Amino acid sequence: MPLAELSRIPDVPDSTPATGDPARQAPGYRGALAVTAESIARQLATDSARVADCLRRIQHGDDIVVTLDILELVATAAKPLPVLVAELVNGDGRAVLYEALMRGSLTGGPPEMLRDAADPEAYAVLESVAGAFDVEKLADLATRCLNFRCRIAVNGQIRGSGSFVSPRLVLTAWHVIGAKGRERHDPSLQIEVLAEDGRRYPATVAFEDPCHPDEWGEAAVDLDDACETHDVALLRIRRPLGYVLGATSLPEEPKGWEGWQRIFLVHFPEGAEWPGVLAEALGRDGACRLVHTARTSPGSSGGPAFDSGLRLVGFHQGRVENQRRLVPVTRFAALPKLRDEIVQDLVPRYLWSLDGSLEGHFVVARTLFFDALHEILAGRAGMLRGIWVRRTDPGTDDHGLGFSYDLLTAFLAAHGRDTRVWRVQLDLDDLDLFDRIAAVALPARAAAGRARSFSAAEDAGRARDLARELARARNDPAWIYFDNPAAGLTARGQLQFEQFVAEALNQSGLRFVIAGLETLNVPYPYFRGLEQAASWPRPCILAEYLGEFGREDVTRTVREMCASIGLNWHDEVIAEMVRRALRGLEQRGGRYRDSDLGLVAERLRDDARKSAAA
Amino acid sequence: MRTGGDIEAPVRRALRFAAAGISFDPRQAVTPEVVGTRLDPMQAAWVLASLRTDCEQDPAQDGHWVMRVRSRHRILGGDAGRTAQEDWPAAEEAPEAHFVLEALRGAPAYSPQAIDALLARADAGAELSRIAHALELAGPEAPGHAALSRLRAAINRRDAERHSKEMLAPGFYGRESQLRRILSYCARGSMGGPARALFISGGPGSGKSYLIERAIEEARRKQGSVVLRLDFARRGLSTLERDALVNEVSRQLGDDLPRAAAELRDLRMRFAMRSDYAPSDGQIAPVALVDAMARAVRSAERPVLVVLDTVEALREQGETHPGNLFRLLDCLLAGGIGPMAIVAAGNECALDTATDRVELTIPLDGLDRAAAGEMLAAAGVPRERHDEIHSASGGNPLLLRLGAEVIDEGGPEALALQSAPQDAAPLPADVLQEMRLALGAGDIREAAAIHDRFPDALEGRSETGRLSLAYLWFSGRWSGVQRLWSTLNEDAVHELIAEERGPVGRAVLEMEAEYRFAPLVRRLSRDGNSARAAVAAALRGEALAMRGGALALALGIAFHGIATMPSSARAREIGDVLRADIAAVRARWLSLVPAVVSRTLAGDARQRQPPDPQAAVLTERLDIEAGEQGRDGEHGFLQDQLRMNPYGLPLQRLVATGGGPTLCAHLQDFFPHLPEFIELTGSRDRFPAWERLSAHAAADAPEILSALGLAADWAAGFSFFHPVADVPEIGRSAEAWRRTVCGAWCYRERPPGVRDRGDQGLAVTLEALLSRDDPPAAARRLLALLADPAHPDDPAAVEPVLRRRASRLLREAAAAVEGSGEARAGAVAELLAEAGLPRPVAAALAVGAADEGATNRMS
Repeated sequence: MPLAELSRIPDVPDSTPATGDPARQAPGYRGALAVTAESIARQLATDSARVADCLRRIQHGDDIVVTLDILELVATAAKPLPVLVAELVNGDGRAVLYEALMRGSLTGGPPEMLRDAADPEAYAVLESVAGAFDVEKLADLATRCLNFRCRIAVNGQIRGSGSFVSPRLVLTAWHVIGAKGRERHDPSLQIEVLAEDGRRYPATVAFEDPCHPDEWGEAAVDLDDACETHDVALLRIRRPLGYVLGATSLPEEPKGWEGWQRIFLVHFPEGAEWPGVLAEALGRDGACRLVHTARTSPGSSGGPAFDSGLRLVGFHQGRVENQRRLVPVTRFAALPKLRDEIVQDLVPRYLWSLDGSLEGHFVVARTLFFDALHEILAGRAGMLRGIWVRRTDPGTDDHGLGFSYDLLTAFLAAHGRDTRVWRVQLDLDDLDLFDRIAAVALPARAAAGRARSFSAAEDAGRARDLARELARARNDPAWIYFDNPAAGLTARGQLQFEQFVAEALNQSGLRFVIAGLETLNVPYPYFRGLEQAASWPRPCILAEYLGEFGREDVTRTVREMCASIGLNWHDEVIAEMVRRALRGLEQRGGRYRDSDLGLVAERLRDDARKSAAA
Repeated sequence: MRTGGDIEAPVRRALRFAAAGISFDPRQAVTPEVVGTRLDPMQAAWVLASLRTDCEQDPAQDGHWVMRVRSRHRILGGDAGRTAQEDWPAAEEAPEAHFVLEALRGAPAYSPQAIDALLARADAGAELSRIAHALELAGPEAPGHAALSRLRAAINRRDAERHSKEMLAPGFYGRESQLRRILSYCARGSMGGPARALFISGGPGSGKSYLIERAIEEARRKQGSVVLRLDFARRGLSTLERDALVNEVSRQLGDDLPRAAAELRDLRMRFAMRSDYAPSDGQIAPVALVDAMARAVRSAERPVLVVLDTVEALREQGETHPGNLFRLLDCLLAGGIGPMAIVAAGNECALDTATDRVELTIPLDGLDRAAAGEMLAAAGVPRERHDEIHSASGGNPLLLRLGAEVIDEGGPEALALQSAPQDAAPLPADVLQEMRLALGAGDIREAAAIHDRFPDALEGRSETGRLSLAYLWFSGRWSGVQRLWSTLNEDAVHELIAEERGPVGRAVLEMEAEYRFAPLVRRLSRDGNSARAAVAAALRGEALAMRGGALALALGIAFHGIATMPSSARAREIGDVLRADIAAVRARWLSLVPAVVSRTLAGDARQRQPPDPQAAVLTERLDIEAGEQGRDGEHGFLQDQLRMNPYGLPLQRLVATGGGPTLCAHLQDFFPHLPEFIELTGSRDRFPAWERLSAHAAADAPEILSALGLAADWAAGFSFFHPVADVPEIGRSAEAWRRTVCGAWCYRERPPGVRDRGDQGLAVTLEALLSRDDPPAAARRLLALLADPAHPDDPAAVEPVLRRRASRLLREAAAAVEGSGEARAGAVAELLAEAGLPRPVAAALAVGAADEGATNRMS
């Protein structure tokens, strides 16, 4: 049978109750319900930066984030820092997630874990094959797997394993959610992803490609290499958890192999906690299924397998007549729709919501801004060095300008760029502008000073030196965001700003966003069209104009939201939602005022929540 | 609850605390005095976390936070603000902490009356900034907020005065008569157009800016002038950005007339927003803004002094820019901004293209001995050294000052050191390695990005210098190349070619061919080691290399000599290996050697019946090549040869890596006229597909021009009219190659058997022009396309340049040639081309020589 494990699933005692938190109650579960101040103290002593990072990540998407440096500020003798960290983590009920994230930093990795595991055979395998893997890298992979792996439950029962392949998408075997005799999953099933943060997430099916009908049988089937059924599915959850827990990636150009090769399989046999196992798989170029030797059980299906280069090579499909099989990644990685779904989730062209969730700030009418960022990050607009967000009406709400900073940081994060954006306030204070920028971006320098004596030539040199220094400060292009000054700039400030922009434009390692400052004299051309800006042979700026929006802008947001969180709305539904969002608003020639954007966003959010709840 | 209790009230109070001060210690924000209750540390953490979303680290004070301005306005505005004013617990205890609150409350120092009094004080100094900043942070709710524009104007005036004092601090020596003339001119401001200027002309360091600064100070003091100063060294100012100029003028006018500052700023903002979104035709300054400026000037009853500084920088942006600037000033005058006096300063040629706008010129020569002595004495230079320094400096004030400093620091010997090239601090090894990889991989854009990190001052032999040199060469920045090249003597060049086998060696070899053609040919012909090194360099580093050009000619000549050399001793010297390498070079470079050389050498080889079998192969190959390329007759053959012009490649890279604005704008404007240019130059368009390639005219144009065989014509023709960096250098090389290929040998080492047949390409262009119905009109059109393709019907860009650069040559050529008709025109054209004029210019100017009357018209 196929998937003998699959057909046996109903016979296996359900070890994960339909109610409560199945992850925490699964056999072998090792996660803690609470962290202790003592363990935190040890972690702080070992790697406080890691603690700070994990604290930040467990609060991903929250409006207010308590960071380690804030806790340091308020710690007292009675409540020292470790106690406060433990209180924060436990008080939020995020101890499981915190621990999962911290595990990535623990030393030892798989060897220790496997010694702990009640599987001497697996440990023996590790010992025997240690030479085939770079054990340190394997340890790193194994510990990361502990975060991005997950269980798949259908109607409350754990039926398989999976792994995050992007912020919201989980890769698993289709038969975990499918059924014999069907070519598509039953939409009435309640599918859930049980993530390593200890929570369960309702999931929809973003992509499915069923197994071969013969694979449901009791006997092993040798599928023809031309078999076009891949038994693969992508499940989508609404929260972009992959940002927090990490994700594995599909190789760009997966390669097969011939003969036996070591693999590392991550799975939940019987739905139980299991640290991963080393085994061997028999490769055959072009084969649609591969035999492997890992011990598996029902619940292992969909568990990702990696080769000694730590590349994803496929996922466990099932066991038939004691023969375990993998679906090799070479067979499904190139499926266009599957890849499109992942790419879209990995590198969104548009953020419909700041944190990718219904709870985040909705974003409407910023298509050009995102398109420009996308082109820059994709390396297709090397000479486009900056975006100038300009208003077309002095009455335009300034919030739209300031919001650009949030959009920029969120977009960079969504593209996996862990780039801090240097945000520079411009005002009438007589701080020297270059010192001010340096203080924000290069804090190791001396504190900013008051305006120095005036020398245009000296200022030009300082602008050039600063721009070069900033460009060298990062490997990736560094980003600077200039806030719109509330009351303009002094003549000196404006001159310094122009000088800096002129020099920053010449630095390939710098990018910037200017909010407002519409009367600035820019020494380089700025364009309204992305195509022209992206192909201009010299450094240039793209101008984005805020002030009004149209129906198409709202439609874009709704479409992106539907695609992102898996709302299967038809065009008519989308049109209706857009109509409801815009009803009663003043418009001229089909253009609406930017000041109504907040209301439109609220209406969209309300309708989306209701629809999602339904 | 996640926050560990209800912290709404403490957060509210902490936000007010943060909004009311400038910078604060975050620990203070959660004390009971501020939040009104004792918070548990965890609660305090939540309060600070809430606060932080509106704050950032204070750049001026380590560990302190500062609230963002917009957040302050939200918190302090409306009802919340009024509550804050009433409900402020710590105001009495921490006066600095409620700095902004004071402004919000309209406390005595921030009341409109107090601000008026402050603005009236001459010694307000730093207090102006402090008050303005507080009002800015307090937001529109503050009673004194309306005075912000006037405060900003006062700050700008204060800064300008401080700047002026610093500049004039060394003292004013000589130039008294010039100053009197300027002030006298300023007193006669004009109320109507056209705008004309007093022009202060002088070279670098002659004291133009200093004199202007002094004149401004006096004009302000004695005549009450409103000063509008446009310094075109400032990169944001260009007449292409007319809006930016008007903005700048209105901003400065607001500084001098603070009561109008708010209205002007408001109009500026509206204009900047709306004009950009729905731009006007770009010809007219915004009427409302000009009207408001005129009203403000009238109401103040003060004259306006417009100062145009560093005008040569404006001209570098394009020949038409000075004229455009004066047209803008015409608009301001017509709008009623006056009486207006205009004083311009720049080098001698800065206003050559707008001579009709110069009413009076004051040339600045060196200071006389008396004034110089006064200046040096003030600088503490002993009297006995004055003559020495004056003679060395020629009275140039800057050099006098430098001379004084040098003598003060280390005697006259130090003066020599000042001009010695200084090698820059070494770059990190990984940056240098990145540059090598980028050049090796042929990624010029990547190399450009890396080169941004290179320091400016370099010496060509250093690791950084040689990489910089190679980059500048490959990217077409040939003006930069020449500076570094000049630091390399012959030995250094040979060393580099021998040591650097990759792109750097190749670049240096190409440069040597370009700049030291004859010595290179002689060296390669005679010195086996050099030839070996050159062969290695020629065969490597090809990713970015310029294929062909002067190097191909040099190699063709030198290796032909070696290959046909009967001397067995020489053969032994260069060795069999080198012989094989030379063969490889020949095989790879054969198609790149222009036929004028290769045919001759082949013929020469045939006649000599060379004993060397390699030479026989060469002969055979050249026969084949000539047979193929000559299939379309002589004209087509010439066209094919011109298409081999490799100098389009550096042009292409120059544009791709961000060539100057004038260059790119010109290409953009030129491209639509390309069919006409092809026709006027008599080129044959055998490449009709080029139009499909024109999606990005500026970026693709150099490649398309090369493909059409017009790279030299465009580059040399463009740089004849536009003295921007790099293109003239490339244009010269391209034109020398073109003329050589067309039969007029332009390199010093002429190979044996190559006869000078005259520039056949020039003859083709001249013939094309003369065959038109109205040859002089066609000639003018050809010149106009090169001078200003955006306005090809406007002679303004052509005539001043012709007057300056070609009229004397034309007169001399016309006088030197007798006869009439096309033959005479051809001879004149040849003389003009020999004198360095590019083909289109030489041919166009010679058109008139066919008929004396037309000559006068062209002149």
